[in-house]
Amino acid sequence: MSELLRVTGLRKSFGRHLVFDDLNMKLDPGRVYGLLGLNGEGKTTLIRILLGVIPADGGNIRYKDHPVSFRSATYKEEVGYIPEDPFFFSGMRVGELLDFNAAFYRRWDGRRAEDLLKRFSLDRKARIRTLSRGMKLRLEMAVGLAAKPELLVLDDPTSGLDVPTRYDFLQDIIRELADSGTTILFSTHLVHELERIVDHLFILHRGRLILDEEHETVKNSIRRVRLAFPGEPPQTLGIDGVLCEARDGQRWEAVIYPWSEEKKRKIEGLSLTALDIEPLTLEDIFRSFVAR
Amino acid sequence: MLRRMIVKEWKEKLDLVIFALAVLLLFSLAFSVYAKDPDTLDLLVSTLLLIFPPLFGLLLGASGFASEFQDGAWAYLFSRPVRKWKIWITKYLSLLSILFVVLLLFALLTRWHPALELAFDTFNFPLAGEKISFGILAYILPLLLFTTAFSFSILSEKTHVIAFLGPLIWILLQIAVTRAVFPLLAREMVSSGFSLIALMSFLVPLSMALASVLTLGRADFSQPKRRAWTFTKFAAVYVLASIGLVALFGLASGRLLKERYIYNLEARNSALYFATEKGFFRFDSAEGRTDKLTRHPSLWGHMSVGGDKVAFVTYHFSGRWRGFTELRTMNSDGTEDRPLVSTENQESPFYGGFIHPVCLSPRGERLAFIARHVPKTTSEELWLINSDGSGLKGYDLGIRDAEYYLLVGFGGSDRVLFLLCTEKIRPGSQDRRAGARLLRVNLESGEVEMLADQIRRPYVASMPSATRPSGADYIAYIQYDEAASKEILTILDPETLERIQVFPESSVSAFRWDKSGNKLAFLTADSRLGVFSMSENKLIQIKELAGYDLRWPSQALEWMADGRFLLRKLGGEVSHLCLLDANLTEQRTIPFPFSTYYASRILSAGKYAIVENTEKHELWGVDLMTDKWLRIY
Repeated sequence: MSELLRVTGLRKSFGRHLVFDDLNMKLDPGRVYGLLGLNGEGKTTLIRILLGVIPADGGNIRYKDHPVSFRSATYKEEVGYIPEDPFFFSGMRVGELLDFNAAFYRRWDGRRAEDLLKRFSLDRKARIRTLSRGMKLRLEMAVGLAAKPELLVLDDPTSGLDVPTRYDFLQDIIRELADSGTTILFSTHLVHELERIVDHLFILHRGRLILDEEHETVKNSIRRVRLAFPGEPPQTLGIDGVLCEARDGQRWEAVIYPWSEEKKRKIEGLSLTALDIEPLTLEDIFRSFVAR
Repeated sequence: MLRRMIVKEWKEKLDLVIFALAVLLLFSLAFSVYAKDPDTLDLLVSTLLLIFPPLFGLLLGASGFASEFQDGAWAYLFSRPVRKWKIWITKYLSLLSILFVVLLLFALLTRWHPALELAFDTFNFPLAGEKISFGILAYILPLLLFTTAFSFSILSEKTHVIAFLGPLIWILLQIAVTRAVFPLLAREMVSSGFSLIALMSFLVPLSMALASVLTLGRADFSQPKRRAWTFTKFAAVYVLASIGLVALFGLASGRLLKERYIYNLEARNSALYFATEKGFFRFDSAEGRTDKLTRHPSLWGHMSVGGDKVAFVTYHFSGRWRGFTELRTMNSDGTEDRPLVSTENQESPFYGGFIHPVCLSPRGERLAFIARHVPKTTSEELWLINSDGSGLKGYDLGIRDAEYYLLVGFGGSDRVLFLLCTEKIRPGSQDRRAGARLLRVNLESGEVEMLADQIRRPYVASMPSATRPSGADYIAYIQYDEAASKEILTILDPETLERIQVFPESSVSAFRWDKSGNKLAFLTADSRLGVFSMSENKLIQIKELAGYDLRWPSQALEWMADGRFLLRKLGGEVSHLCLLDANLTEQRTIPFPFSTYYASRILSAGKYAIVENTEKHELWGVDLMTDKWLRIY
């Protein structure tokens, strides 16, 4: 199986507001995908369409090479979903929620669910409304994992969590899942969280995927350059791929993508008083792309 | 999934269920406290019945998807691997289980509470000329309201808005549809539109439910306006389809039924008068010819024959969704057809009411009728009018909560009227076996007098159709004798109040006066045929019957004008008409010209024996001189 999920020409608008148009993406098995974007760029909308929660206005979605639609249900047996706000039936108890979900999933692993409850220190009899946000997130994870998904979709689940909890979550759970072969689509606006776990990056901006690339590839082919000129910097350096730039007197700073040795040689050939070339963190990469 | 959903819904709606149980408990206590106060009990019963089941159904339905909206859990539910229509169905069934259990408790309370044994059986109130029974109010209406409100609950988490909007839209649709459809059907539809209203009452919630399921399966729930618009579109399509269906049903039933049902048969002076969906007819036995007497449609065949007059009730659509009834008379040959009273005119004391039953005096000079459900006026229910339209006069019978009336006939040279009345049994009533009462109304003084009670099979109570030579009135009826636990055929002389128990050895199931009014033939429940002579004041014949078809006993026996009897006999697939001589000896049998397993009605008119095929709604007559059958209708 070459690909798990393929999205082609997806379109969605809310009234006159176009969220995205002609959106294309592809997920391969066993990889961790980061879906980045500013608040309100349509990450949640995209995920909800992928999960069949809301309908798209146009385009196609194929799961394991089978077309799926808003009305399809079967493929969701293999798709776990952890939403931004863990919306449960808050009147339920923890155990009741597990039992309720067990009725939907044929691959439901009850023993695994109980193990996860122990691991997350969740009391089966606790009312969901009394749980903290972190505990609710763990409960969602338990539900999502007990269903043994092949694709786990996380919609900014760590936003609002304290740092140690976020760290545990990302380190312990996501990496473990990814190692076990589960494909993960992780949407977040807290970009630095993905630094250590993500394999592939999508950046959704102004209704388009402006980046669809391997994390390692991006990291290796993007650089921040800081130049100091003896006088006024020139209007243009004649280098393409400048994502963003800033001038301050005799100083000039820019992020260049894609980076290459040829561009490096060209810069080094300039008359400069100082030159600094450095790689970017994922957060910087994201900021550079969305600042363009 | 259904089991889990039921558990979830029961837990979520537990507060509503507890509230319902508390209400039932309170009412139960109140019933016990006021067990001996019929007025208060009546009020409590009405309150509970009118408010509790419909309101509970409404609130339960309106809260249908509230929890999904309040917690944002609709997205959670939609992301589960289940088709959205299944979510709708399982949720509906889950809530239905709650409604079912609460209504079951309600039913147990109302059926088993000792203070309420009979209360609900008799709870009726008029609507569109019909009555809504307890069962419809207590079970059907809550179900319809529940379904409607549940269908709307996908639109908003605001339960109170849905609880208000749901039934409001339902009622508006009902009114709109009936106003739109009824005038279109007015020419074709000959009976009450109640069946169409009832059909629409089911189709509107069904339309809403279908629109709701489709909206759930197609609309974007994150956009409330688009969701509401999707729902509106689907609902409009289904409601229009429902209107079409109702219109088709109305037209089809009009076409199919109007020429079929035979409502009323009366044989007088060698002629047979009968009323069908199509109108009023007269079969002349001398000429073997059937004539339609009037172009006016029949309203359930209400008519009366007296002298050379026929009085009848007809119904007209007035262009609005409710028409009006009219009482008319004509000569027995159909001439001089004229209206007497109408419920159309706002100045009329009968405006908006209902006229039934009617009774012409033996010579056809006076006409008595009952006007009921008159909204605005008067406690006068019995009315008298001369057949030329003069002398309208009303009488207050002073009967509270009359269930129905039967007019037995005029007596005392048309100065008195005999009628039967059944009173509604009220909550807490101890008179559990109350039967109809026989009343005499003095048409000059208006005095009402009760002559007998505990009358069973009131529809067979009758006076001889011919005036007896002595001029005396007699009324025969079946009266329940509590001591003997038998239904005794009794003949009453209203002048002297002398009563004759004709055959107290057995319960009597039916009887017939002969044409002269001197003899009375009767059938007993233990299959005997007897004849009582008024002039000899004794039982002159009694005979065991074997092999005769005594089903529908009031229509199983008939006198011929020459003193012979008609009975039915079952013989294989084809029944037979049997002619018995005056000694009750079988003379001959004539096979019916049709086969049916139904009991057929038999009558005689002149030389013809008349048989109604009640299965196919046909009338056949056999000339007893030639044994030839003639299809009359």
